[in-house]
Amino acid sequence: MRGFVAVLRREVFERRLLGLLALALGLIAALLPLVPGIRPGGVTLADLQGGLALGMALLLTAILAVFLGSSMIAGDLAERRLGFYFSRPLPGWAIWAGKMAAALVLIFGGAILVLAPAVLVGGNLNLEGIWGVGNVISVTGGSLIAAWATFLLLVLTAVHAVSVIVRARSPWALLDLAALAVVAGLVWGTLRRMKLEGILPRLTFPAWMDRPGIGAWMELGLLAAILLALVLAGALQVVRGRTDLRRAHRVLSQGLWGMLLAAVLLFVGFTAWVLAVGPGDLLGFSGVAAAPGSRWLAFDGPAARRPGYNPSFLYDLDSGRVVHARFGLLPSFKAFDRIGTPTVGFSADGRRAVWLEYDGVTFDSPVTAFRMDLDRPGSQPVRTPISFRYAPSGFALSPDGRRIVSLDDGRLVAAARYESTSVSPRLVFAGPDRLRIYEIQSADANPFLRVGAPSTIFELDLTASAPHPLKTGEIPPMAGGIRDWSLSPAGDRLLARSVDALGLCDARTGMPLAVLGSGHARGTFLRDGRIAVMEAVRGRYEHELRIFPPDGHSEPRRFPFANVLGATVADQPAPGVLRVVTSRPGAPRELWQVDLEPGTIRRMGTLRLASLDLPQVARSRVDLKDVDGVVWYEPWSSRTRVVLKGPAAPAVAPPR
Amino acid sequence: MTPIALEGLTVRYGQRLALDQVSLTVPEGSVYALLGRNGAGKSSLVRCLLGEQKPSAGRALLLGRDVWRERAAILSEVGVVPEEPDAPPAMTARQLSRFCSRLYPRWDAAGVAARLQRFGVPAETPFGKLSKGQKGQVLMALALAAAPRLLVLDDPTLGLDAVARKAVFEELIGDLADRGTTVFITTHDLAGVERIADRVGILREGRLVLDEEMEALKARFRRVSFPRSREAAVGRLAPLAPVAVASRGWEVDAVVSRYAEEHLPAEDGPEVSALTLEEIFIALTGGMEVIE
Repeated sequence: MRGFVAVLRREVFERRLLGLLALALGLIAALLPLVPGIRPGGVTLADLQGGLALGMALLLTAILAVFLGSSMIAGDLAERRLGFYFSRPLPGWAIWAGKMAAALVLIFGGAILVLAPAVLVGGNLNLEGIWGVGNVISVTGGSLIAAWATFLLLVLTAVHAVSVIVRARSPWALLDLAALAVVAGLVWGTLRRMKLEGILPRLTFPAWMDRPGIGAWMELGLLAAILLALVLAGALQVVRGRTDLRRAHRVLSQGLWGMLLAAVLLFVGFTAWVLAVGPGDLLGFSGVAAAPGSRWLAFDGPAARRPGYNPSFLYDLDSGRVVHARFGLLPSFKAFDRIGTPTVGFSADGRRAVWLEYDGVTFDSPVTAFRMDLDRPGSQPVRTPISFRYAPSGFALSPDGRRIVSLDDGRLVAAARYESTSVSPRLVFAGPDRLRIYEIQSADANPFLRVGAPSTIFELDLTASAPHPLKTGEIPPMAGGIRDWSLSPAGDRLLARSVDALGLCDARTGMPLAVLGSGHARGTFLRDGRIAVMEAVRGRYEHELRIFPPDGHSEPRRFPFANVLGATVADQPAPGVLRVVTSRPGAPRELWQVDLEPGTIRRMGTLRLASLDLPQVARSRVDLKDVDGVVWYEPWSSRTRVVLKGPAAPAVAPPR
Repeated sequence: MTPIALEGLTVRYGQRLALDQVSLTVPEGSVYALLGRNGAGKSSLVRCLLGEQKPSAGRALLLGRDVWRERAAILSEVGVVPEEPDAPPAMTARQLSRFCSRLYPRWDAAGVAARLQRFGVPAETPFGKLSKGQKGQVLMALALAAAPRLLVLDDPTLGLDAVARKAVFEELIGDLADRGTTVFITTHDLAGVERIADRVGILREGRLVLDEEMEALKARFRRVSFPRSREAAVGRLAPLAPVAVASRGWEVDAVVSRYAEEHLPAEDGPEVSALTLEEIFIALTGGMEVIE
């Protein structure tokens, strides 16, 4: 320790003039704004003093990190002055640590000396308006300073390594380049995979610090490993390489690339583990959809032990086959359907699935359509030639599954020019050759909407030589905007819910047909066109299921569910038959069968289900997630089965 | 405890063999002079000796301990004067002394000041601004201040003028007389070291070709000159183990390494003279043509 302190003191003392330089810069930052005519209009004296001091501190510390990293040890080695230390009773680690510590003292001491005068005269060290963050000292508990300090340490040690390699001028440098290429390639490839899978969010500091997902932690771990490798390799170089520059270079390279390769391989392996996720690893569902007429499901959701990762899958309940697709990443679709329909389009016969995937690692990357034939055993996702420059804001699949339409840059891909007026326009095939565009004024898209604006509806004839969108109507404004909405299976009516009403409208003209309930009611279309509405009875611990005729005008039939806190129409297994799931605090969920014609309700048993938003359209089948795994509710047999093993579930083979 | 013991020390730089299984020991209290031409491997040997370089094979023991493994602990009892003055150029001799005083268990700061005064070296001048001779003197003063049991001097008189060289050796002699320190010195100043060395080693192309007491060395080496008969000289020289023979016309000059008077009766005619260390060194390291 005595040696470490001696080296530290000597190195700092030798470069003490750097302190004077830093102090001079600090005085310039504090005093220059006082000169008349210097300060731009609209900038306060305190802001200018603080900003100048911060800028100079950043610049000085970066320059010092490079300068000291290149000279402190590598320079001494090259100029044969490191022998002075090695001919004294000084351990190698004390030489390395003393010199590195001295470099850090000079860098951070220099920053303090630059900032001190500005702070003393009342300068404002405030970054707000520059990076969107607050005071540099207080923001995110000083994490900004920690990040900068880490960056400087990285620069210091990396420049040291590069400097040793360059000064040694040995053939080992070629191996260094090769190792660098391998490490960089592995890291780049792995980060790209992580980005493509949506594990790595865009790095928005300090938002990153608020809710770091597994990708952020992995990035941090990799950064820490790189830093550790640089520090340890540098130490190893001094301890084992000593005064021989070429030997030092060799030891440095062996240590650095050995540790880096080990760390990167660990990173690659861990990433592979993260990505090797199956449906049974999901904690829940962000969205669920079922292909009509087949037993294929599309769903995505948060993965267990992988916070922040939401993989998406196509899953065949008959064969248990799983296809990992990346349709869950398009945020615009997520924002549109708050109940969480995955961004997968199924053909009307359920034999084909089409979805969009990002080609690149950023949200402004091009997007390509993929398709898969669901009825063909062993079929794989096929990349189509259809791609978009940016993620389209609207997407629909034709009933035959052979055409898609989308809104891309405000232009209908087919031909017509179209300027969208909402955040998430929704495209729907209103017939084989007719496209309907809903510009829904969604409450999600505009959280500040109070009175609301009308939602407009357009139609487009795709067979026309020059398709032109024609406005066919508009849904009147609803208070607070439309919270969620759904179309009838025939596409002729739509249910729209706001904060105070559940309304039925004509799907083409938007004309209001009836008000079916309050803003707390949930509506769903039945296969025969009737409408089921579930709503809590005001002031009572009870829900009521109302069955309205297709026009919503006549008085509904009513089915009470007493002593329940929540109730949801879960499925319609057969015409005139509904399944309802109810919940009470502290009790398992219960499944009920409602036979509409005789008007009876029969209790089917309990379900140990996790909290789940169920699709509004009752004709969709539902898979549910329990702690035991993915639980499939079989509408026809009224049974539930664990079809994919969860963390605590017994091994159960998928049903065939 | 043997201050220095080298055991099969081998150093390779790629394909090049810089030291080839060098083994030697330096007895306590002796002055060992290691001689060799440039590139003979002296610097590699000294770096290994100081634990700055790991040998490719073999090991170096200083004060009975492996110097590569225990360098820092061993060097607290070793004074070092390097071939190239490597002290930080911005530091003055006084600052250097203060820095070193924190590292050694014993430090004679007054002794450093006294020596510098004796040498006439200014204590407040930055090291980088001193002349080469002064730098060497500063490093010598620092090396002696820790009262070392062993002193390793790597060509301490390189580039010094005659006066400075004399001062260095006088300082050494004085210190040796006072304390009996063991000294290991590499030098090209053969005349200077001849006065103080007890034992001599000569390196040639990485191999230790000679390792012997100075007195014994000087006793067995002689120059033998045969003024007229070349053929007779060749026949007579064989039992004397000639290491170098030069012929000029009828005259034959030889350096022999096993001189004994009985092999060369005085009436036989050859002239015999003693050799300086420098002459022995030149003969052994290839300064003369050898004939069979």
